Amino acid sequence: MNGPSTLDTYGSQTSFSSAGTGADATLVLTTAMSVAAAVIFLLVMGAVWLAWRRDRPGSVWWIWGGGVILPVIALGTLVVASTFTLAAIGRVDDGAPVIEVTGHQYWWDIVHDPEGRALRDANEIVLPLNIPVTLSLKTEDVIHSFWVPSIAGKMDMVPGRINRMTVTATEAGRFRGQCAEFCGLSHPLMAFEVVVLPQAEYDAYLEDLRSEARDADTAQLARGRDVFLNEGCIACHAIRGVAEGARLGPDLSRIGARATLGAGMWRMNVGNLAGWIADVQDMKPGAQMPSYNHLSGPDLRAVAHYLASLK
Amino acid sequence: MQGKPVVPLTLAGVAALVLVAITLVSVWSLAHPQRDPVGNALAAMGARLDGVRSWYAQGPVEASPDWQAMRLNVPGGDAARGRLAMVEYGCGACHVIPGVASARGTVGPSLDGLARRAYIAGVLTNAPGDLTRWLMNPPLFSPETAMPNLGVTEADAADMAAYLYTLGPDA
Amino acid sequence: MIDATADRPRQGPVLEELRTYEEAWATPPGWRRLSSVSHRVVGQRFIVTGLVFFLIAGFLALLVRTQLIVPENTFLDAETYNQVFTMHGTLMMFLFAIPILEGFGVYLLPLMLGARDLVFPRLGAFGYWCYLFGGLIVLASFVFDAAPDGGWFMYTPLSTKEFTPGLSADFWLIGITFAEIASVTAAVELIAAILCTRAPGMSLTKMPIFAWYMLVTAFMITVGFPPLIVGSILLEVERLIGLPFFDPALGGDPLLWQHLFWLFGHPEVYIIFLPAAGMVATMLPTFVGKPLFGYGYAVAAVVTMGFISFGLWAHHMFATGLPTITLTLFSAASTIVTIPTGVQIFCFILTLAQKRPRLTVPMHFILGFLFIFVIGGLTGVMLAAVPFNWQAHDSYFVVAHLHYVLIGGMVFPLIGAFYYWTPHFTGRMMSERLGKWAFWLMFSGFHITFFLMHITGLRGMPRRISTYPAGIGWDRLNLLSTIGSYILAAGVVVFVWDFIAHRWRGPLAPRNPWKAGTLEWLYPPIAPGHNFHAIPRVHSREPLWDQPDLLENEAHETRGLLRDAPHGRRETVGCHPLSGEPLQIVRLPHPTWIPLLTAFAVAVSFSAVLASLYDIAAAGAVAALFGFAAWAWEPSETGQTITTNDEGTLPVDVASRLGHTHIAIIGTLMIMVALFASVLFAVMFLWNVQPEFTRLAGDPDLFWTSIAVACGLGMSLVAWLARSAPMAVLDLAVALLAGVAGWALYQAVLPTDPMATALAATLWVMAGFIGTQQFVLLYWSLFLALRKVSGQVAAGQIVPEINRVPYALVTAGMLIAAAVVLAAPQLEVLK
Repeated sequence: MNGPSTLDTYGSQTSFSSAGTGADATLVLTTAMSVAAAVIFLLVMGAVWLAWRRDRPGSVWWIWGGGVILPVIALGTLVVASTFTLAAIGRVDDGAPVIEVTGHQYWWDIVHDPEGRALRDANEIVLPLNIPVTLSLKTEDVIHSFWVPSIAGKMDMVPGRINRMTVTATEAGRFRGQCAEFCGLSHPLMAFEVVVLPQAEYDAYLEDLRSEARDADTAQLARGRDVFLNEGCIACHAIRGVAEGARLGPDLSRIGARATLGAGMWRMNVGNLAGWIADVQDMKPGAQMPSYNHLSGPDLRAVAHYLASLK
Repeated sequence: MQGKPVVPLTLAGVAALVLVAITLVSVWSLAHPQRDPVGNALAAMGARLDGVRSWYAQGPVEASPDWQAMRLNVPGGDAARGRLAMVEYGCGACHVIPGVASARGTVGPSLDGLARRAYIAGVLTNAPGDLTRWLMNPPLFSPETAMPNLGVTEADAADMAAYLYTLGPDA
Repeated sequence: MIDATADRPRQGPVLEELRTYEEAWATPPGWRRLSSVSHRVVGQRFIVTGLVFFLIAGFLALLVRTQLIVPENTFLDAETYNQVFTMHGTLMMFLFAIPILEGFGVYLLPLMLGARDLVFPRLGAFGYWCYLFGGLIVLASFVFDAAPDGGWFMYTPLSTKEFTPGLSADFWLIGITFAEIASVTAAVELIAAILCTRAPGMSLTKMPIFAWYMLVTAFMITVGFPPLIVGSILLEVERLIGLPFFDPALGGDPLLWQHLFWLFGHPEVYIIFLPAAGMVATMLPTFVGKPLFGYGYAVAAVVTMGFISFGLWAHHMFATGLPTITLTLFSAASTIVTIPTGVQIFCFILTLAQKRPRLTVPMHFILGFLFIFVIGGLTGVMLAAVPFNWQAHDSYFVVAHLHYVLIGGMVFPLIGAFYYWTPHFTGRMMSERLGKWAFWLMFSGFHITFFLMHITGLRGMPRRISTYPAGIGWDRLNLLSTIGSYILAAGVVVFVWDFIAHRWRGPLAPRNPWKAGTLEWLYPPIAPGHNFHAIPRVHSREPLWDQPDLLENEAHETRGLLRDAPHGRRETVGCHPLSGEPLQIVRLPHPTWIPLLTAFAVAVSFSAVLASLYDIAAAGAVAALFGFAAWAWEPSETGQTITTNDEGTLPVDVASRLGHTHIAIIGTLMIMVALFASVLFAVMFLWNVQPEFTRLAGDPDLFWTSIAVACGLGMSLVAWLARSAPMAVLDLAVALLAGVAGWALYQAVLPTDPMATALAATLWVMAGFIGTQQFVLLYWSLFLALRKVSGQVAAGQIVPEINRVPYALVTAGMLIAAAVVLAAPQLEVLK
């Protein structure tokens, strides 16, 4: 390894560099409003400064000018600009491909094309480049909020409701999102990654979601798979072709291919996987998964290697 | 105080300074977090300061060679790089490692004071070569261990060993 | 600047002929001071207690900043961190900001308005004890290791029993609801005091601007707090019994909580800002030496702001998935509030323009307020833009914005106010030197801490996270913010030290130390306990500037009304609410233990609910009812008259529509109506969002509904008759009808199962609310009947009835509204 750097662990998580149409339009609005706010601030402080130096009463027209006319002009402009931006980015495209994202304490369930093929993944959302996608946002427990600053603004996931938002990613790469509504003990540890791929790679990814998970082709991986099957993991987790149906926990069919572990928090590798399995409750307090600290050493190693191999 | 225009001038001056500072920080903030020249410069400065600090901590050169330090010297190992590699391989998921903020796992033993231990995992002597080999493939030496083979390269293992030997050799 | 060498008497001199009068107003010494109900004592209790809560909450804020100083810090674990930020917000908003501002209002208003006390001193004392006990219940959660950890906003379903087992949320709900009693009682008290006890000649247009700000604030509290009280009760009931108000599976909706919370929460921001702005509007003219410029504009702006603030709540919910049309409307509405704010700011700026001000410590804080608050206002406008809001909401940008608004708009003026009015509290001046240190430390620390948070937020950092990974781009910004927070805290420490130490180090304050124009500075500090030996006639908004005789004479020789009290009773002048002309003499109570004991009984009751000891809770409630009865058990004095020197003969405690009791009942009714409207809102909201659950509510009984309506109307009628016919039997009739109406309503909802659907549960709550009103009327009528039988109210004295008539009318109105809602499904069947 040359020059290891933690900076590459996570995708970009800032609204200042936009990689989606929503964030793009908002950034323009943000910049314009910031400049206008700065100018108005300087004008008001200038008025304070003039008032300080002055020694006789001013005209009541200042109240009308500064308190009514100036705000009306500024606000009128703002409301118009904001409404047009909202109209541009707030529209939900019913024809676009749908990705259903369901918030859980403290992870994200993801289903591509829920009405059709229902391709399931978790904690990593793959988006096609330059193609509008409608996100369908739900929650299984408390209120969460879906936020990928570089792609678009946030939208809450409210029990009993489905909120929809259409996003278009305009730059390939990795971006980080995070739950933005306080959702309990491990709220700060509820992040995810968005990976934007060109159309061809995106199609390949979807194809990958249809096929069975990679086979356990060595003795150790086979032992890992058996541990997975026999130690109760399948009560909550599914691996396509191995144990399907369980939905209480993230789908693990391609866990090894994700960049991060534990909902966008740790770099995906055997070391973190082993530590995670053996002591989830220490790494993510309040998570639904118990710590599997009763596995024998070789079993723990085997299952960690097995999961890391699922790419 | 009506006769003193100095005071409002001071006020305005401070206000102007605050504004300038705010503007500068705002411009800085526009930099991409991962491509941030000011931040990189600060990080580089921090690294240099680390060097100065460790040089200062070593103290004046002693008359006799420090056998302890020589015993723990890992050839080709760079402790600073090793510290980052620890994060990279996820050691912190299982171990507490002083100096690595994210490393506070309780699955395995704390690595604090590792330099003072006699054995590694009870199977290998605590010497630079053994530690490097252990890090590269623990199950080879201890078949029942829970510590997996993390696929550590030899160079990374040496770096990590060098870092681990900075933990508690003095006490 | 301050001549402190002269050693003056710190009280007005005791004149031999006024000895009984002085004694009537004396505050009991030693531990019996706790029985004092004087607004000066109660106000100072509020202020000091609020300051203590401010320091606790500020310390919690430092814990938060310390945790975030580096990424992946282990200073606090996640659970503790959640408790710390929850308590920080809770203490600051509920137990510091509003009570301390009300404390200033309670202390200052009678002095500014020319009254010897507030009109309901015992209510004020009771409110204070409720606030203290409620605050202690909330704090006690730390002792029981059950500190609330669901955020100060307590969003459902995270705060329901399923996701927050244990008592932590109950501590919050019960403690805060209890403490809110103080806020609403103080609001009623301030409304009555401002409208009914002003100096002769002080018409509404000659009222000090601070009184206008407090009047609007008080009205806002009466309407703004009830939604949260209702929300808290619903949530507590859901937690205790399991009624499904917020459960979407049974027809509830978590957004109901958010609507109720922000229906309160948004006006609350203005409830916090307005009194502080009123302090600025009071202090600024003093230092400029000229009256406030554009008084009329400022008053109009404040009143407008009071109304607008109730139409903005949904901008806290832009990301919850509201329809686009709603988003656009609330976005536009939110920007409009800038106009009244701008008018006020420009009134301040133009006041400044009249003359070069003196740059005192309070003036520093006023300038700091202008600087910071304008930034906060501008970022607030930015947040009103929906697309931007979607990025910034629940990020550190919002944290920055709200601290700019609240610290800039409230804390800076408040600390300025401490420097300004402390001489009045203690008779000594605070230090100019330390004050400037405090200001510059706070000002610079504040900007370092919070300006950077705008950037941190736009760089993607969400709120309420106890840890963040290294290298995302937040490390240094957080480090700097934390350093800034320590500087800010150092400024607060300097201020607090000055506030403590000035009591022995500070120079004695001269008469009218700041050369202010308002009446509270008439006496050399410390003013005597009765505020005024005689209440002077007032001809302008700044009587001390425009009526030179007031400051030329010794304060105790001021000419005016009520020079003494030959009967050894406490009394003050009651005025016409509009013109300010004397209307009556208001008799005021002497020190009493009853408010403290009653509040303690209520505290026992609330704590017992918390501990699930319902027997004790019921006993506490009964004890409180006896307390209230004992409180009001005194002979009526209506019909007596007092001859004054200047204004002829005035009646005592009049029973007219302009009297203080009537005004206070109107204020109380506003609270009741707002409570009922909140419940009605809940019914309508659930009806609207979960239409498929309306049938499942079951059909209420039409027969019993009709009975309830009939009894409600009958009750109003009899109460109206009883107003001029003081017969105990009519009171008993009202009591009986109230009881029957409550029972009929209970029978009407009986066929619906409150556990089955949220709508049914809400209907039960509505019936329960009306039932509570009926119970209050029943209790009240029995009490009146008892008073008449025992001869406390003589024939021809019609005082108490007039207060019950509007109450009964409104209750009947609520009863009918509730009955219509209950009967609606039936009528649909009939169609």
